[in-house]
Amino acid sequence: MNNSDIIIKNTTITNHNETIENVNILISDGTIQKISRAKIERTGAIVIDGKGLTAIPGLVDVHVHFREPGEEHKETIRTGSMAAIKGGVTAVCVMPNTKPLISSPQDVEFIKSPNRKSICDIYPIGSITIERDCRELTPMKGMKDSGAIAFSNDGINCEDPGFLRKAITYIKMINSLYIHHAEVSSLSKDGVINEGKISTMLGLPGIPKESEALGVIEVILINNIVRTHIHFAHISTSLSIELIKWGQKYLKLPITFEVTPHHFSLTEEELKDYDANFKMNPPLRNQEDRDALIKAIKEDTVPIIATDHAPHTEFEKKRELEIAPFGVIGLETSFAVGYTYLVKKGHISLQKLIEKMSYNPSKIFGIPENTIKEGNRANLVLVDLKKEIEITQSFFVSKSKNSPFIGKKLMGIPIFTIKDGKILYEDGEIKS
Amino acid sequence: MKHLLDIKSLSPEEIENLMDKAKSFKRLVLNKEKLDILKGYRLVNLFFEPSTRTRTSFEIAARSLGIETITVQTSVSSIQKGESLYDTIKTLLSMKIDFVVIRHRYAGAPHFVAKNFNVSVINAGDGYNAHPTQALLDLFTVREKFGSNLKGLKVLIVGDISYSRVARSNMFLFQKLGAEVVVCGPSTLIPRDIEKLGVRVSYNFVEELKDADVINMLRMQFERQTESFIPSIKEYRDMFSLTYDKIRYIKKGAMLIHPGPVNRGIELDDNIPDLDFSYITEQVTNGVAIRMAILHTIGETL
Repeated sequence: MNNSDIIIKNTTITNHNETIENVNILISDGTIQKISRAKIERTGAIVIDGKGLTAIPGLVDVHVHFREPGEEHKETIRTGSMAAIKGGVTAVCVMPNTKPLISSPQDVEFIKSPNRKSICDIYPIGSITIERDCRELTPMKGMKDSGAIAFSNDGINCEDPGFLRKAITYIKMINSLYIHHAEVSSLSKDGVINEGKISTMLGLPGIPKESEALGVIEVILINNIVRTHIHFAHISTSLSIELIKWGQKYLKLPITFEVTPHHFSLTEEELKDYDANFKMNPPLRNQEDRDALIKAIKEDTVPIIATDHAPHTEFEKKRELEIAPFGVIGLETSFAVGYTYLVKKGHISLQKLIEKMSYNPSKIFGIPENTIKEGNRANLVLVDLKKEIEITQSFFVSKSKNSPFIGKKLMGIPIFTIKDGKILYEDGEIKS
Repeated sequence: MKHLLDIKSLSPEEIENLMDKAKSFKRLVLNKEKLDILKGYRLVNLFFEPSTRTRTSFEIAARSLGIETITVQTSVSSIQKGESLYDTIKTLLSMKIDFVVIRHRYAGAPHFVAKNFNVSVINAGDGYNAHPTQALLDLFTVREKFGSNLKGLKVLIVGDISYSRVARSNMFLFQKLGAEVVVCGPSTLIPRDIEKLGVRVSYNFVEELKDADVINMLRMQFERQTESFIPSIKEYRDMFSLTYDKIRYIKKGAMLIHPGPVNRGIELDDNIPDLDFSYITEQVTNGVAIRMAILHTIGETL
């Protein structure tokens, strides 16, 4: 039914490697049929006035938590996918720390099933362990065959080097990817925010950045035995980045990693009011680390930006900071935060941002890329780079509203999201 | 002033005002007099952690001003049934409460109440973040001996600094008024980056005693030994306790304060709290006066 052609008139296309101004785009049958400066006409086509907007490839977020199965009151795969589409994200990789864990081929099939009614592409990440005790490996070959795109310990916190070695060795054999949440829990202990001047001042137990760095170097050295592609989730400190660079250069290991938008934009100073909407793990760090992350992004050391979208209900977050759960949502604001804090501030170009939020994630994770060019599927987003809006609680379509950007002003908000040639999101409204 | 959540948010003028009022109220306290200036107001003492001094002190202070006072000790409340802080406050406030005095094991709990509810909140101690009323009564006690100009005064805070809300509040308050603050204790119990907050760190208790004007001892909790912060009580006492053999190093005219309860024989040798230079009982009396001053000041804005 809804398969009308779409003509986007007079817009600017920005891919990771080029910018083309004043073009018209014809979308038909799910693909980009034509990109041309000449006028395009088609009867029955939906016409979008692209003037003042920029067309970018659909984004790919390789680290999200949709709380299905088990905690559907926080988010479902469907509502999470709606949040993704609103943020211009057309494909997500979902983490396995649900209840129960995604630890079998059937679990993977459950996530991928069309009955979940996702409106974006879903790539399940499998757990490396059957139960949270990190004792038994999951049947990863079967899970990969069922569609698992990678395996991870994220949210499950397996950190025993002996067990990790076996898991990573097995993952190498089946030609898959290991994603590691780096943390040494006896150092993090009961920490709730970054350990430092602010945690000392606020009387809160702190998570030292060395906990992440120690976790990073442990897995780098384990990988020195195995020698396969590993990916570090949500790196938040310059210490960790230096260790990763060392592993890449000195040990010649294939290591990639991701950085979240909240880590390159906000700092621990946000916690002064004890607001749990700023509580996540790894925590917001100090200004030096935030600036070092920006520098690493600028120097092109950071390949991927991913959100670690982690929904929690209002009442879970509206409580004493120390007992509130860790995590913030991010899908709907990720591009705007990237644009506002990196591109608008002159640190990187828009092309570079797209490379880190769409092209590299696709390339590194083996997900079809969304470059806007003739013949490719039509997965693209029209963003307004000039309009500034203040983020409010009612901005979000996610089931949860635990965002650290409420009250902050952002530019680069997606106005249209088109996936497989269909308009799924238009100016505040999900169309599905 | 609508709330008293911590020392950081107090201006020097507000502090001076509280000191003046406390001076007047102290006379009333010593004469066991009652005023009815805040009659008609209702206060809830909401204590999630045990307390002798602070709780009783607030009760007496409030009643001395004519405030109707109820104490809720959560060990015997519906908190035991899993009721959240949010719902606890919501329930209490529907009984028309004007002041909530809250002591809670988690830092930021008083701030949470102040942010989400329309009631005046007084922090009676939140986690190891702040204990502003203690700091203010400590300041009052120090001023009784040294006068109101604290510039150049050396305040030595000794003990488990990491887990002490008294250490933090006193640090901020004494610094704010120009005193030199030195913290002293086992390195495992000194929090990261504390020098960045303007205090000096020392591990040499005896050396610091020699020129300290105010010796602020803190309670050492036994649990710290089983959690491997200190190897033994004996070693702690050798290094950081005020023992009889260390008294001779104390500067003439110095004063001893302690928030209580004192572990006699642990951080202070048995009779030291009773010696002339100890102002520990004076602190408790002053506590009632200070709390009256605080309630009166907030009451003025209601």
